[in-house]
Amino acid sequence: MNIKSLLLILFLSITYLNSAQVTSTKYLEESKEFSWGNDPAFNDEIPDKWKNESAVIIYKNISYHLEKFGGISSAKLHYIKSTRKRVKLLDKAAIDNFSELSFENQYNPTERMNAYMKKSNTILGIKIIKSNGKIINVNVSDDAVVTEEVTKVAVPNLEVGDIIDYYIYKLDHDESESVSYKPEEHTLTESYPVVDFKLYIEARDHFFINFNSYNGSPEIKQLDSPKKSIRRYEMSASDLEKSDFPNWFYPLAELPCYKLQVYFARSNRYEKITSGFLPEEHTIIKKEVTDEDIITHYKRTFKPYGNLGPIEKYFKQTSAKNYQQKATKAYNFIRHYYLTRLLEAVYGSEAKILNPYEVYGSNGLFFQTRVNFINYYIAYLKDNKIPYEVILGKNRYDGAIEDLLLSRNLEAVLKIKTKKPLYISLLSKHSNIGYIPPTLEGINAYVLTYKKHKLESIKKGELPVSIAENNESLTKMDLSFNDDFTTINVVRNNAYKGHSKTDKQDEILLVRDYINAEHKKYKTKSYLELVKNKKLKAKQENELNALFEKLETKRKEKLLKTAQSETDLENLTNFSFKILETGRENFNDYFVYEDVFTAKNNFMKKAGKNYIFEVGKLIGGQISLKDKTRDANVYRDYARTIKNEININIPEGYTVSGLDKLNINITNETGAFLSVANIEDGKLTIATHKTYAHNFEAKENWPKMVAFLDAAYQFTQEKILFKKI
Amino acid sequence: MNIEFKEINFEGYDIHKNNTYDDKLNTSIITYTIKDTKGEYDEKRSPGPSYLYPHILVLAKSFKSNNKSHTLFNETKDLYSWYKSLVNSMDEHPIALKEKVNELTQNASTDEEKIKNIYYWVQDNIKYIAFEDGIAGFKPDESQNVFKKRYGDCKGMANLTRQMLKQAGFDARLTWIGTKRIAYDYSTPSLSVDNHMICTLIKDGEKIFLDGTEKFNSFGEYAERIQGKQVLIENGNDYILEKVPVLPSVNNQETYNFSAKINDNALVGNVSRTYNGESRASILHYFNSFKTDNKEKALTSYLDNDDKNLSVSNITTSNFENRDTLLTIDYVLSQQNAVSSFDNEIYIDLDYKKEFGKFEFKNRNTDYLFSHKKHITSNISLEVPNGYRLSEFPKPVQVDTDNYKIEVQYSQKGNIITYTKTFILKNAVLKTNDFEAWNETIKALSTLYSEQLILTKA
Repeated sequence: MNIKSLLLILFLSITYLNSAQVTSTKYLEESKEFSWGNDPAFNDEIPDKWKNESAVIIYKNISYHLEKFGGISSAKLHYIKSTRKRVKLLDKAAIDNFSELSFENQYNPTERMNAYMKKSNTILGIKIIKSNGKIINVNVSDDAVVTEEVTKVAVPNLEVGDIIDYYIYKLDHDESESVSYKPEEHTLTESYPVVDFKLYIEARDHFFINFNSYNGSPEIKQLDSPKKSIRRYEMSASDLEKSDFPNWFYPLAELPCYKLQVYFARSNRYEKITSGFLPEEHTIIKKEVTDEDIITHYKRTFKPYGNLGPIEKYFKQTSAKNYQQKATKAYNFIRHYYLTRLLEAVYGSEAKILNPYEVYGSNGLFFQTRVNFINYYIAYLKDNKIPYEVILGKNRYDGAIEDLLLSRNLEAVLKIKTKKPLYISLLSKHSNIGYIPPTLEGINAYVLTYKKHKLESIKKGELPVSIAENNESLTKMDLSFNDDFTTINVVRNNAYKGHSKTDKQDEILLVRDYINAEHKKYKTKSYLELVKNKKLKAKQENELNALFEKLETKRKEKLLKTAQSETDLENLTNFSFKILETGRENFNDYFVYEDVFTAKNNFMKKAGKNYIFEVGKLIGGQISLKDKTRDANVYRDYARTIKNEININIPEGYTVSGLDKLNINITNETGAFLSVANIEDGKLTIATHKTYAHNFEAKENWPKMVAFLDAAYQFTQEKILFKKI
Repeated sequence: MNIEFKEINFEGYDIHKNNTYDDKLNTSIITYTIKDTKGEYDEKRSPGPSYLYPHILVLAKSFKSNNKSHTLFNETKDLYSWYKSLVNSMDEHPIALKEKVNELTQNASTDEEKIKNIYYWVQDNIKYIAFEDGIAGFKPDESQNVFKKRYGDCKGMANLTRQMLKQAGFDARLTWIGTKRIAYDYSTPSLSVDNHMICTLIKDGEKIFLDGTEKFNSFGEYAERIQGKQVLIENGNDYILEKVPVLPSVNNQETYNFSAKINDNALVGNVSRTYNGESRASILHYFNSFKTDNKEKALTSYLDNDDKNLSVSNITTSNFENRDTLLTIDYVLSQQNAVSSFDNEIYIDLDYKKEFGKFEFKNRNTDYLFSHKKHITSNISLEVPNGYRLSEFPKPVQVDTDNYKIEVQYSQKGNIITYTKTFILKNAVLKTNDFEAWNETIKALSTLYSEQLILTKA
């Protein structure tokens, strides 16, 4: 497009948008006073150790102002958060970074869905302190670009050695008797080092606050206040190095951090309906959650609920040997009846081909929440007199159960108390009974026990951890070369189990791969079979077929790219694939697919009459650690095993040298890399095996991990020689 | 209205023009119809659309109102007049620049030093941020504003450069230009022929072009996108047309020299790299964008490609703040897994970079433009260990055409094997009719790259 027409469009759009408010003026004075008033005397000195940084934050302040207007019976609320930073700019990269500040136009700290109708105000205040001490106030409206989502402001006149002192003040207005504001969980550190940090909260009556500091973060203190109805709190920290999180790490689990949640409840009556672990009195900051809190909060949450008609009908036509089988069949039926049965219609609806409610009605099609699903399953357990418990756990990445403060941090898992317990955590297209999310494996959690389907007591217990062998991926490759070795023919059989399976299923399976078999098994009708009007049915059938054909084409393209990236081979042609097992019946079943293709043989290098083959590369890229030092514990998603089996037809007229480098064994308690190579009947077979033994390793064990990781990387660099006889 | 509809790139397309006159409305209705065209090409590094696609330039020359003729853009001088009127309407107060100009020139011993201090100061301290609504798309921002804000677009930077040089006593002019992206020049009087503004310094009868948007550009060097393009230089009520010189590829030379010895499965030795011209400017720009505490890591990552097989140490460089002199980087390299031993033979994969080894064109419809005229020379020497001899060399690749030259070969003297590579993209472009021959060359190059050096025990 011609630059002039581009400019014209830009001219039109900016003129239109600039007529909207760049930044609110209504609360401008308040925002300045709130963010810049009460400044301590800054000495603006940078510690020597940080003189080589790009920028240093001299002072960072996050302040909350929780204000209520009107009398006792009114509930006009202001939730204000102002983030202020006073930053010394020490190099050009910092100038570049701070020359453009941006903020989101819409601020929504509540959980409301229709928040777009709310009025929210965001105010940006900027001043620059030059190295000679001169203070320049920046007029934010001058050079700003407002788009639908974000406002960007150009900051003028920044030079190395300047200090930029700015705040972003956000005000949310609400009128409600009960509000749960969004919780916040943050580490103290950020991308630049911070000399002084302060968190400040000022709250009116009936605002309830949960707050606690973890992993050595300083405690919050209460300050004096002029009025009884206003409470003031402050948390101070200083000398914060910049964050530099390594790979395989959960910052909130280990680094100094804080968690905050605010609620508003106008009176006792509203306290009871406000969602979250509210403090007893609004005058107390709640720092931790007790067993009593859990009991109160979850007293009526889990209970048998739902119409078991469909599931009872199913069990009339099927039988089960034991509880394990029964529970699995029930789970798989529910997954079909309340989810996958409806998927074709969902896709059709998203593509605007059909309206599913015309055929299915609108009652009780899906489970709205995970709790609804769990309660339905509890109804089934009740019907079959099978005992159960509900486990409430906190994800591994945000700290231990003892540090629980925010209700959103808890996830529920249903435990079926059969001889060998079974766990149910969620319902999705390919999920299985027995699946525990990796983020909950091995944690210490709350266990809620039930008697006659009423919450009886609470205790602590552990969720099990899956072992590496059960999270397996196994790829078998059969390879042959064409006559001049320029291309390589590959047949792969790819099998996945356990946690290694879930991502692959989501990525690869389409609903038409399994839905017809399900309809047959559960004797349910497909969407099209339920459409009464013949003409409409024919039309929708054509359109749905076209839609799914498109999805299949996309899938094939994706799988070709996957084959490329997994083998590092290029220029794939003649690509085809076949799904052999969907793996959807049981958690320990394999998901298996086969792919076949021809690729350019980039791994074969000519060496006179002989050829060097970079066979190691066929197992795909491995972690390559340039810097082997690590001073942090290692958190991995789950223990796993990755196996490769490579079978190569040795070309006629050639022998193979170099097998010695392909026989490797590095094993220790953190994991292993093993490789065995053999020649038999004109075939070279190489089997590799890489294991991460645990989902967590203490940092002292890192050198042991490095040993097998390095061995795996070095394997990819190994070559064999095809020597002409 | 007197309008010329200039038809461009119509050849080869099925386009019909229909011209009728509507008596009632008193207007000419011109209808262009095109049939059976492909969509626009979705290809990277293509020439600008004005080179590729059929289009019409609407040239509004003049109009008659009440029997009086009003000129719009009838000739180039009309275009210049309008541009000049915008320049004249600026509210310039360059006195605001005086202090900085003094600071930049008072300790300079030559004119060239003064000019460079000013030019480089604009490059380094004025950030490119463009607010170009309405007339701001054509009228430059006042120099004192750009100076104060420390940001501006190309027009603002050109104007600031001009005013600062004038303050220092030099003859500096605003200069309009269409970059290479635009197929036209000023023989067509239209706003569509330019998209950029630079500053021209007239000194000792010579014209030197200064572009503040080209960071780390060296005085006297010109970015590829303006080379060979016509410029419109202000000259009071008149104007000067001039062309930015085209510079040879060797000005951008990038060299790589590695003297390697075999050490177990690795190649080890000293590496020396140099960069000049545009290859120098782009590296300086890249490194200077990093935060101070990340600069060392950035350099190491650049040299070792973040590859576990490469270790670099003892790094020394020329001054990374000097954009005029040859940029040099010297270090010690260890290249692991480059050497494999089988029985009595050693196989060596000498070439890590393998430039252009996969650079084939498949189904490409448009010319391919490079960022600048690449001129790369590489020399790797390998000491053959005692008791070994080399059997044969892979066949060299030697091609020299109008648009490119590729020469890759091995040679041996005594016990030193030398592997030299030269890649020159003479005009920063590969045209569609080059593709076939180019692909053949790349195939041959790729074959050479895949061949190992074999050392046999004597």
